[in-house]
Amino acid sequence: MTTKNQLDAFLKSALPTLRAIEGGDLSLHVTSDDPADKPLGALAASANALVEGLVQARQRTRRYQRELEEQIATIEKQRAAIRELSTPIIEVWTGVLCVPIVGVLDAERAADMTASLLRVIAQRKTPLTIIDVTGIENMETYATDHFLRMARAVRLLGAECVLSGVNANLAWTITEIGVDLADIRTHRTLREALQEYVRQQEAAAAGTAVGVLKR
Amino acid sequence: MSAPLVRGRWMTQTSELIQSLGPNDVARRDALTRLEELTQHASTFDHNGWYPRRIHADMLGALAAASGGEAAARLLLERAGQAVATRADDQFLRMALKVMSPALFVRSLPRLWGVEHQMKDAFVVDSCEPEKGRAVVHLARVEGYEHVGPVVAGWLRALLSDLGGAKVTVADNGWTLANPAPREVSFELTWSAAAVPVESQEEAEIREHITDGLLTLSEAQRDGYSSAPVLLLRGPTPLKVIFAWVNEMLILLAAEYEQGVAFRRQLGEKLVTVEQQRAAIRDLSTPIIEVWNGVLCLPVVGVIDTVRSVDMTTTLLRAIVEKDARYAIVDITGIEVMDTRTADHFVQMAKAVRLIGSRYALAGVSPEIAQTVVRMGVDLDELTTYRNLREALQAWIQKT
Repeated sequence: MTTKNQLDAFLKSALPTLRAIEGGDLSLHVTSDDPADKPLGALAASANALVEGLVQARQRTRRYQRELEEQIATIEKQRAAIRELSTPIIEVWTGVLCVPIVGVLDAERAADMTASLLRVIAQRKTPLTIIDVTGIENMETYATDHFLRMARAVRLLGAECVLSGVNANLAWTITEIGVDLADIRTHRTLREALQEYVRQQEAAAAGTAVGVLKR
Repeated sequence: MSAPLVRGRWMTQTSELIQSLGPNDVARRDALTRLEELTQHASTFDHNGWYPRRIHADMLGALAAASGGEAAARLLLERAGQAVATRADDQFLRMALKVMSPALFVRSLPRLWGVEHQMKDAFVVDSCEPEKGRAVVHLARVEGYEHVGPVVAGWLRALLSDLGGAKVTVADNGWTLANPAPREVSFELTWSAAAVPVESQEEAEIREHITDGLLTLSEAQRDGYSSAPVLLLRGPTPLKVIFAWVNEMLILLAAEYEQGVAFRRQLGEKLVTVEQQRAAIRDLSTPIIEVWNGVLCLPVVGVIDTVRSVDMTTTLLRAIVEKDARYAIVDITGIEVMDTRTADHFVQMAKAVRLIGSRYALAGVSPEIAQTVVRMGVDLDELTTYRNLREALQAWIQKT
């Protein structure tokens, strides 16, 4: 029913279309004079079905890609939220800011933290900042460096900066790596740091008023 | 030898058939109940996936049991096979069937079966006499595959009837309701003379090559073009040229498939990250600081919903127990919205804290919040409130 001559004729008419499709134009269709229940008609129909299949596959891939991009955007937004949330700055006492540090401290986070801390200090004109490191298990050399920088930056604004919550582990690490923490005062707990400040204030106010603390 | 597998479509079509049975049929209820047990994972049946043959046999059993008697059972089972054979989405198979001659069909049977069932060499052609319009085939090694006989008969009949409007009959031997799984089932296929094309040797060969190509495409489609089988470049030159083009398309489809799989995998990974970060944000939104001995401070920032409120309360209670704290100050200076529900969350939190024997205070109540709360008529009598954290702390220090 399909002779070699018919096959030749079919190929001759279809070849330009096939090449164009191969070249990327997926909107083209192969046509045949035969109906689909004849071999050549089926051949043309199958070629068109393949092109259609490719179009659908591309659409699917693009949809996945879009979803992927959306998720990546979400991840970015969450990352920003995490950055913001990981630097809570609390005014624990009048003029005393507390910055509790939880988790890993890398250069980027340290920079973020310093920036927002300095902003708050400038805004509220607080004389003391306590960096509470209770939530940190171990400290690497570079992390210690971040604290030192942070402390110096705070001092440039004319405020004091102390470290609290230094546990035995941390103390050992700091000694081990030989970082000089001489210019930063450290306290065991936040309470001690705060108490010392309150006591100083009390001493300064002594003779003029009754101190807030009954020791 | 591993267990024989069958394409998911055999399960989905059978379960659809069971669900479409007459609504008032008592037997249907039984079948549906069994079906539910069998298809607890029905939603995960992929038409093109592979599943143990056992599941299909169980479904067929449910179908056979639902019918009243052998004749009715045979009819239903044949319909189950027919439903698979006539699925509209097997476009290349449809095309191949349209151009096949009966002799080609019989010769292709083992291949057609192999696409659907992973049972090696199961379909055997015993005799084929195209000029007499008759062939005998048998399906071997189907012991344990209950009721498969009538199902395959229905499948064969539906496929055969696609061949150029041929009048066909299919008879299967061996199956009875009492003996649903003989070792093998044989089928006698007959077709009318109209189905046999009159053609020269050359024409027959072209037909055969095109059929072969279409069957290869049908196999590729079943597997989502994942590992594109390649069309053999056979036959006269024009066909070879077209087949080479088809192979190019298959390569493109396979590449697209691979890209899709890669994106989906990355998507899965990203979703995990999103989940992890969500958890991290949850944790970070509840920082707890010991501001004084036995005094915990929980600064609250942002918006409070029920989930976050429960999280916060849990974390706070755990910290109170862990640090043996006697006083919890919740600092709401950074809160964004204060409405009835938010206020309610804090009242609940206060009750919980008091239950484990600690005191509770709210600090950072701004004039705006105070006004809102009063306007809303929230009863904050149960709560101790302070203007800021310092006052809350100072009050505590003076008391102790």
